[in-house]
Amino acid sequence: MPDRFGPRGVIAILIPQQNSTQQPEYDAMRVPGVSHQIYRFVLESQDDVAGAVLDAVPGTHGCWPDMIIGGNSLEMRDWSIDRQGWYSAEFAKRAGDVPFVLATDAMAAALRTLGAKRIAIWVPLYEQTLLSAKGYYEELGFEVPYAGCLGVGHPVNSINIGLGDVEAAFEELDHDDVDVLVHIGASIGIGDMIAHMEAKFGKPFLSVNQVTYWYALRTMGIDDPILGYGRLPTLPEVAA
Amino acid sequence: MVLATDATAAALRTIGARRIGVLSPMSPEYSRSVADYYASLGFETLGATSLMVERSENIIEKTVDDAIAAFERIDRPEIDTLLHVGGALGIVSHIEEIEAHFGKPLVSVNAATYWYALREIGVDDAMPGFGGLLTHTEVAA
Repeated sequence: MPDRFGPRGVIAILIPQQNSTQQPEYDAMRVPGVSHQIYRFVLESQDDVAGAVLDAVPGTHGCWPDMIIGGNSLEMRDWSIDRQGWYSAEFAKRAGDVPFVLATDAMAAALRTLGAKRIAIWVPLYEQTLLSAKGYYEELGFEVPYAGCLGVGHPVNSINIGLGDVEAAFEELDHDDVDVLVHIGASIGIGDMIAHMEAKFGKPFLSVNQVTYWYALRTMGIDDPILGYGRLPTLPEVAA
Repeated sequence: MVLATDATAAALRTIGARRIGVLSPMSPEYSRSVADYYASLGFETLGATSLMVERSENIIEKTVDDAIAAFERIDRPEIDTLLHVGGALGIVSHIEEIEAHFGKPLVSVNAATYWYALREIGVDDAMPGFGGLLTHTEVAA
């Protein structure tokens, strides 16, 4: 329900309690007239991220949101199109009549909007999460010839990853036959290096929080360009 | 850690408040509780007012004009400082307007609590635009 702090809409954003990067990233991208209400949820086990998110969805109704964001990259969690369908349906039951977006759908929509065919994927966590993500995007029809991970065992260690490490990782992954560079895994926030990466590699760079926030705004009918975060968030529409 | 209730008390001490007028958004009963608490800390509470909001979810609908009207019902020259408690009433962007209107400082809970938190971790940046309190770089003992 739009209110004095969010006359254009109130967005409830679900963030794991131990993730200290997502909240400042979303707030840095905030467009005027939109209010962010952050719901921190307990994530005790890396083995059931989806369950932890779903348990937290009902609580977001407390602020009468106009949009709920599930910002975790579930495609890293032994995922498939079937699993995403299940997750989305379960999320919808708990969201009721409130619109919502999921990070995993947002990334697919962003790739379609950019016309991506061959992508390079990087995740901060361990190889199992990378293989899940790679398989998921291949199942969606994208070619993923290059994929890499930093091998961080626990998300808490993602927060101190240096931007230089990220840049070095993409130097290895980037090739001439790649259309779009992709970072998933919201435990690391690298929104502030997107513009640099696009200039350096000469192609679009997608990072999960940038992508998910763009998709949420566009789903709400807000087509403001979000400046300073690369090419995607300047696009007013999501490709069908 | 800091607590809002300690922060507003520290803010009142830092400003040198002695006689205060209190606003809380909900019922007069809450405001009387507030008045009693600050009286027990040694501040003389000369007036207590409320916005008569019955349901907490309706606080967001209240405007700065409602807050000013409520303070006008209790303000008098003997009151040296206005105090707003109840963090669901978000008026930090209007503190300067209210201070100018009444010609005296306003301690507003969210501004006071953030100010106190920053000072407690050694951040002494002045934060202009949110009233006199936030330009104080130190918390009075």
